[in-house]
Amino acid sequence: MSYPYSQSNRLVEPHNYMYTPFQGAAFLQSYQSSRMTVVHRCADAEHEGVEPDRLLVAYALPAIENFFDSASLESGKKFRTMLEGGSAKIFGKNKMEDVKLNGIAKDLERLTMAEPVKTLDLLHALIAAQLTNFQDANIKVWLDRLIQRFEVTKNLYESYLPGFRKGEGANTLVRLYWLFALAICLFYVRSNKIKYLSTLLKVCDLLCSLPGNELQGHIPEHGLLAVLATEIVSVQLLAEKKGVSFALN
Amino acid sequence: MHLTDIGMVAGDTSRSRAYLQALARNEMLPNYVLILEHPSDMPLPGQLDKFQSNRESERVVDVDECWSEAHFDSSQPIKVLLDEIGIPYEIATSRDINDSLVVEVIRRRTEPVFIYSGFGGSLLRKAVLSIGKRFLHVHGGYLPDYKGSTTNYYSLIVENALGASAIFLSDEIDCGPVLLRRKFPPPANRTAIDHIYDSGARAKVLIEVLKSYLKNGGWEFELADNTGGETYYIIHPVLKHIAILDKSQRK
Repeated sequence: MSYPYSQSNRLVEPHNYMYTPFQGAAFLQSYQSSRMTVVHRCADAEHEGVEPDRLLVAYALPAIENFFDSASLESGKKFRTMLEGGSAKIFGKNKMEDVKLNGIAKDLERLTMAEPVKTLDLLHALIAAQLTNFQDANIKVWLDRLIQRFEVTKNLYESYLPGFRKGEGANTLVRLYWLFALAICLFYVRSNKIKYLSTLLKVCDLLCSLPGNELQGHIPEHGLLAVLATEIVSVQLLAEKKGVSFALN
Repeated sequence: MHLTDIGMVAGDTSRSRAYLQALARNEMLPNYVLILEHPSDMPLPGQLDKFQSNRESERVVDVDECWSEAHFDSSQPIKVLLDEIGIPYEIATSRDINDSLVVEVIRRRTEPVFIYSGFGGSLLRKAVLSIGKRFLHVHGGYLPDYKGSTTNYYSLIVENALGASAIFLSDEIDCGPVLLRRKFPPPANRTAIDHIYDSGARAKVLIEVLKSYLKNGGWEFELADNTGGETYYIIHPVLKHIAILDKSQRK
């Protein structure tokens, strides 16, 4: 069985996911097998990266590892194994960068529905805020707004007009979809709310559906691997909790 | 008994079939039905294709009273039943309740309340919500906790239960006042949730609401202030599979 949801370019042919058929445990195996294929070629898609994306990945990896470790040692181990399979390593954070991260996180306070919102700035702030001790209900509010826009239109636009309904500019910017996935990863591992895992799976379907040449140059080193590993391990953990066995050897 | 002040707007979906068969079985017939017609052979959201109806995988094996309305014939078109039980009906020229011609037909009717059972994914806009009628909708999920789409798969994963809540529709999705809400245990055959058990749970709540209406001579609200909760979007198929295959709480 092949996994259909990332087979054709989902930026060109979005899937509405309505009344999807039940195909048994074999479907879950096809999902994992399809994702692992992309994991193994992640390095081809990633590049050196630009700031602050590189910084966000460097902070996100240990943060996600911590959340998995606190769930269970086995979870953390699964996550590390997945990263090492893609040649990624988790390094300690550089304290000097904390100030920079805090500065980005504070941008979230400046965003308002009454003004246009640049999606790149919003995503950077959402990720940075989750990686600092920035306790702000705005994180969920703004992430939910983005999720609503993505779920309804299956796109993310370069910016949103006041009111955050109408998008403007390009809606095919791979960098935005990847940053969106990273923002959801951080929220899901912290909250364990299934709604966020559902949207994460859809964004990862989209990223995995893109031809290699369209992915190249938009995602920093280990960035794609970080989101896919988080998604796959989260699905595995949920399946295990529910007594559903499907993992590949 | 004909409920003279209650009409129905229905697409020929599994849910509408469950509703009408439950209404007929419980002798609470709507005064009039407006059928939203869909001439194409391609099934719309909420419709089984002709090869799916009553297939083995959709079989209902539960004997619990709470699933009494899940034992309906998902292959029987609503027009066949309406002819059989003598409910007057008209066929709308559009499948969309927001179409101006459809809105006009509803506006001219005398029934103040309409049971709404259209095609999946369509929302009622201001034009139809402002004509002075109330639209009784049974949401597939326990409100206010589970708003939005496919929430029964989410609640299966989170709390091993399904839900259904009767509301009067308002301009905010799933935020109208709740007349009645019920939780249901997971069905024995989880592969039949989409078309059978979800419809069966909603039909059960619809019947209970109408019985209460008849008994009390008016509408009573279990939760007038239906605020808060979480809004969900169509569940990803990977999670839907986990919800169906879940073995953690099976006897």
